[in-house]
Amino acid sequence: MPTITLSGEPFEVDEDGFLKDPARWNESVAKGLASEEGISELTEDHWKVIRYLNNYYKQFGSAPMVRKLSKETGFDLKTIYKLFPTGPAKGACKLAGLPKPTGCI
Amino acid sequence: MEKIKLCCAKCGFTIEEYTAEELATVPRKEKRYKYLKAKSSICPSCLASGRLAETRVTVDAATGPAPKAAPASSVAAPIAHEVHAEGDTPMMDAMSTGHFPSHAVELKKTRYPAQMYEQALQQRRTQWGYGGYVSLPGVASGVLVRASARPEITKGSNFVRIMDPCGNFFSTKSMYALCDIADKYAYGLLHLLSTGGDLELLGIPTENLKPAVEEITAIGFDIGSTGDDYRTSEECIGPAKCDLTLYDTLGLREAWYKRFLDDVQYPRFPHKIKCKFSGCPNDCVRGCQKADFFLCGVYRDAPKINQEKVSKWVKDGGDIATVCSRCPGKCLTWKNGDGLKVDNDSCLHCMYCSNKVPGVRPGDDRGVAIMVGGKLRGKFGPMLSKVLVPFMKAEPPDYKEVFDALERFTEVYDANARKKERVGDFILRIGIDEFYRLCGVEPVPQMLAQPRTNFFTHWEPEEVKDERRL
Repeated sequence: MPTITLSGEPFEVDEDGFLKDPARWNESVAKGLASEEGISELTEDHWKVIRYLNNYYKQFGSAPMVRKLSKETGFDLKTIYKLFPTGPAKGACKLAGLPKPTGCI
Repeated sequence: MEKIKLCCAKCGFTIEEYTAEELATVPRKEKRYKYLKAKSSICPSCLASGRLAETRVTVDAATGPAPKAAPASSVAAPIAHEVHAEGDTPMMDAMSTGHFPSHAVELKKTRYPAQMYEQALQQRRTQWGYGGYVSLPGVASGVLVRASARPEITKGSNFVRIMDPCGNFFSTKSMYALCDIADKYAYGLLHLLSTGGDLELLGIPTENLKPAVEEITAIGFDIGSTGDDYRTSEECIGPAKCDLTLYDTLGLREAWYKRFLDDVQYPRFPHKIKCKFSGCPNDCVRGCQKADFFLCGVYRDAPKINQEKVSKWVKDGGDIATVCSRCPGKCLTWKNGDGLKVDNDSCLHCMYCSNKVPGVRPGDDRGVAIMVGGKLRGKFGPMLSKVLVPFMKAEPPDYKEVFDALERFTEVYDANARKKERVGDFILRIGIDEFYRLCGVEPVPQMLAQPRTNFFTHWEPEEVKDERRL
C-alpha cells in the first residue's frame, strides 16, 4: 500500500492518491495535497468547496452530485474547474479527504 | 526479472503483461490480474472464448525497456511522434486504384498507422480497442483516447475534438493554422467532419496534448463536446445558401454558443444533450430523429403563392396535377385561369408544395417549434421527438425567449433524470404528461403524436392572438 508523508505524518493512500481513511483528514492534509493537484495557494473559495464536500461526506457517506455541489456552494462548474484544475472529482474530492468517487461527481 | 503474461489459450495472443514486482506493489494491477484470470474472455485476435493461459518468462533486466530519460528542456526538445510498425499493404493498395478519391491514399500520405487498417481489412474486423476520455488538467472536455488491440503496431491514439464554426465555414487561413498543428503534433490528418459535426485531430501523443490544446485555443478555436454536456450542435446552412429557411439558423447557433458555451465545455448533465437547429420542416439536419432538443423553423399562416410564376412553371411543363394530388393535406387546387388555390384550414405546412413548385413560398408568420426526446441509441432504442412548444417567435440578436425555454427544459431534465438517461428515455419513464407539467407547458392540440403531421396543423385566429402559450 503506498503511503505519503504530510507534515511529518505518514498517510495511507490508494493508487490515485486518495486517502484510505477519511477520518484522519484535517486541514493540514488538504494543504499538503494541494501542490500535487497544481494549486499554489488555498484561498477561501477553495476552502468553501473543500469544507462542503467534507461535511457532506460526513453526513451522507458519499460524494454529492455535481449539480448539488455547484448549487450549494454557489460556484458554477467553470469556476470549480478554475479552482481545481483536475476537476471536482479528482481534485476537490482528494483535497477534501474523500475516497475516490465512483462517478457521481 | 520475471514477467507474467496472460495469453489466449488457443492462439497465444498476449492480452495483458505484468512484472512480478508490479503485481506485488500495485494493487490496481493485482486486482485486474485476478479478475482476468477468474473470468472467461474472448480473444481479440482469434475470437476464441475461454479462460486465459498464464505464462511466466524470466527476462534480464538489461533487455527490458530502458528507463525514461528526463526531458532536458520542453522548449528545445523535438516533438515526439509515435513510431508505428510498418509493412506491406496489399489490400490498401488495391483500394487505392480506381477513379474515385480513395481514403487509403489519403491515410497513407500521413502518419496514420496504415498497418492497423491493413490488418483490419485482412482479418475483417477492426484492430482498434475501447475508447474513452482523457483527463487533462484545466480541460474539462474535448480530449478522447482510442486504445489499440494490437499494441505491437501502435499503442493507441489520443484525439481532440474541435468545435466547428457556424455553418461549418472555415476560412483558408484558419484551416492552414489547423493543418500546421495537425502536422506538428498529430498524424497530419484532419477528420473533417466527424459524425457529431466536429473537427477531430487524430493521433496526438499524451505528452503533446497540452501544447496542442494551447495552440488550438490560441488560433481561435475551442475544444469541447465530450462527456455529459451539450454536444456540438448542428444546424442547416440556412440563410447562407437556402431560400426556404424560416429563421436565421446560423445566427441562432452563434447566440446559442454565446449563451451555453460553459455547458458545452463543462459536463454537468445526467447524460449528453444534442441540439440541432433546422431552418424549416424539411429537416435537412435530421434533428427530429437524432436530437434531444430540436429547434425547427415553422410558419402558421397560408403559403404565399406567386400566381405568375406558377402559371409560367405550368406552361413550361410543370406537373401541377401530381403536386395537387400528392399534397398531404389535400388542400391545393389548380384551375386554368383561376390559378393555384390553398385551403389554409387543411394545410399541414409540410413544405411539399414549396419544394415542388417555384412560385409557392412559406408564409410570413414564422417562428420556431421546440421538440424533445429524439435519439438513436440509449436505453430504450431509437425514438422520434415530441413537440413541446408548437410555436414560438425567434427574435434576434439573443433569442432570449427561445433560450430561456430551452434552459428551463434542460433544468427539468437535469433535476429529475437518472444518471446516464437520455431525454427520450427520461420522458418515456415519467410520461409525457408529467414532463409537460414539470416544464410548465400547457398541452395544446397542435402537439400531436406524429412529427410530420404534428405542429403543422392549422391555428385558429384566436389562438394566434394568444401569442405566449408558455
